[in-house]
Amino acid sequence: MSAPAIEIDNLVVKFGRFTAVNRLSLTVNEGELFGFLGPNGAGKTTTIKVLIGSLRPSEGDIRVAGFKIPSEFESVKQQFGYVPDTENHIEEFTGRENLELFARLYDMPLSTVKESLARLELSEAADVVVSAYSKGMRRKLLIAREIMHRPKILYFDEPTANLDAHSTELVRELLRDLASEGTTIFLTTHNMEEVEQICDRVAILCRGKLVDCDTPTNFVTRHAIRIVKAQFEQEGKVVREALNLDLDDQRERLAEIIRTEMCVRVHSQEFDFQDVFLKITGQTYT
Amino acid sequence: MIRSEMIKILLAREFRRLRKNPSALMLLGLLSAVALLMATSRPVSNKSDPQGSGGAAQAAIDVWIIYDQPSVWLDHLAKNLPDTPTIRMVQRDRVPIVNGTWNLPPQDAAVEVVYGEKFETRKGSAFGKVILNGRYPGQDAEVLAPFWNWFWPALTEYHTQGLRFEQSTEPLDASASDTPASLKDTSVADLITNELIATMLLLIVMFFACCHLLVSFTAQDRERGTLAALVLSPANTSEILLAKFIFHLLISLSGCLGIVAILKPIVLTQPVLWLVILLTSVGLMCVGTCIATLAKTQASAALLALCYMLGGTVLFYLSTKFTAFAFIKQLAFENYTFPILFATMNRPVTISHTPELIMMLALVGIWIGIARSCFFRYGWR
Repeated sequence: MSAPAIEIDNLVVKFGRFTAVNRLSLTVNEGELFGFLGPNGAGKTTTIKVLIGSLRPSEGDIRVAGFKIPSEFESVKQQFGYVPDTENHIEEFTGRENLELFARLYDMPLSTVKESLARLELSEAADVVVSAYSKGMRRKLLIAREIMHRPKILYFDEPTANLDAHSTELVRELLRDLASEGTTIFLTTHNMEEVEQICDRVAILCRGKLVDCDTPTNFVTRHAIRIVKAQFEQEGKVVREALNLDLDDQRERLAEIIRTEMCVRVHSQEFDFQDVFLKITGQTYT
Repeated sequence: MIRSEMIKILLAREFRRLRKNPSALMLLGLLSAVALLMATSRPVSNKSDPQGSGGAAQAAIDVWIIYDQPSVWLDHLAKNLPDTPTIRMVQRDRVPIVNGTWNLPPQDAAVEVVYGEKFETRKGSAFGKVILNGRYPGQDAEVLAPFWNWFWPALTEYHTQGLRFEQSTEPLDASASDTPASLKDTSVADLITNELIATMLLLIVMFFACCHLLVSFTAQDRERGTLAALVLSPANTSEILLAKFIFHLLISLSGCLGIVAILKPIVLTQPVLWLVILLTSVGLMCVGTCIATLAKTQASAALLALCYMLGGTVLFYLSTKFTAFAFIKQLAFENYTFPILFATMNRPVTISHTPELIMMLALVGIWIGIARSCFFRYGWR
């Protein structure tokens, strides 16, 4: 088994009396594409801020690439890249100038700028000032900047936000490539389809607490509910019902509908990762 | 650890950013234009000017300053006597009196120093009124103009320190003239000289380059998240802060160099001038860093910088009225900037301002500590 890239042990983050992250413990292995999910306000961004050294934890031990955070922040920061949910470019500079600045800071050859721009399909817009970029282009430029120095760990906050279908696929492909090259990717997203498609493992956080951590397939297998949707006529009106076949009374109800009513349509519903997420976080699922 | 390579990269970034925002330096251009106009145009003639600076050139006559008690400001004048007119300072009881009047050489003028209710003494500072009775030979009060031209600028730095001066003029032989004695309050407006304006322009340049511009740029970096991106790069927080300081210091020094070169090039070689500009610039950058760190947005940071400037002005004004504010003023490094800068504009300053420079150095040192701590703890977070 590969060595852990990120180790979080009993992390607590408090803002006054409000506890944003409550005794979170998890391990992310090297080269793993790890999804960190949760509803709004669950504590995902707070956790990432602690991991990048931007926020001091109230309690807990954190190690990133073997370095303790926040005490060894200066040593660890060259090991990771961070793509925040909001762009932080130098607006007056062109895309190329932005990347060149960071290439110089990371002591990378300027040829990496060209490579990164090409990889994110930004070569044509390289000499346009960032203030004229679309949201999607800004997002791609940010990703290009953060992969340029080939970090060991990449933190992504909503990697495909504001991207069109083609760019979304481009970024997902890039993430898969980076992970296969050994880069550990720690991402937060609200796009459950993305999680199912690219993540090796997923942790679900709710109200600051870790609810579960597993592979997306295992999540679906463990939490799937067999649902049947029935549509029938009752007293001249069309009625639709979703019935859980794991519950005895609902199975009997389905049998009753089929036996006594005039059934228009009966079909099973696929239970995907989004349904698992909603069920686990208690946001919905009948 | 500070790496010069990182500083160079970050400094280049600041200059490139400035090149893309040339309007940021508009005020410096405006101030340089003011200085150029002042240097290349003649002053407006004004007969009522107590200094007579705009009036017709007068032949310099010798003037006796006659006083009762010594004081700090009289000592200051004594140390800075001009070549012309010839000025002698003498205590009243040493002036020979004949027939109840002073027996001065013919054609010499006298300026009598009369203290009001309170006055400044050698032993301690007090607030009070000082009346200067200018007595001239013959019928023309304008013969005293060269004296007043020297006297008022030389006294400027004392004018705001709890003393209120009044000036009157009358003939030495009052009976020989119908001209009544005229009594006139002097105001700061009467004291405005090129040296004073140059000093004010330097203060504005330093405040603009080191406080306002730094606050604006740093708060913008912080608001956009650029500062966080830089801190997460291999550049460390000290290097980022140092690059910012060097950049703004260079702007401040170039601005000041331009103003001084235009208005008073002779003082360019004065080391004390550059030491004061350096200390003030660093102090203002520290204040600016604290403001940019504590403000949430660029707009609120700009507002705070403005409040700092206005608050400082109000404090300095109140310090001339209330002792509590005078004490607070002693703790502001800017308090020492103006008198020393103004002094360097008028004469070579050497050891006489050492205590003020030490105090300034200590205060700026404290500000560096505060700014560094603020920026490290909250600057990019």
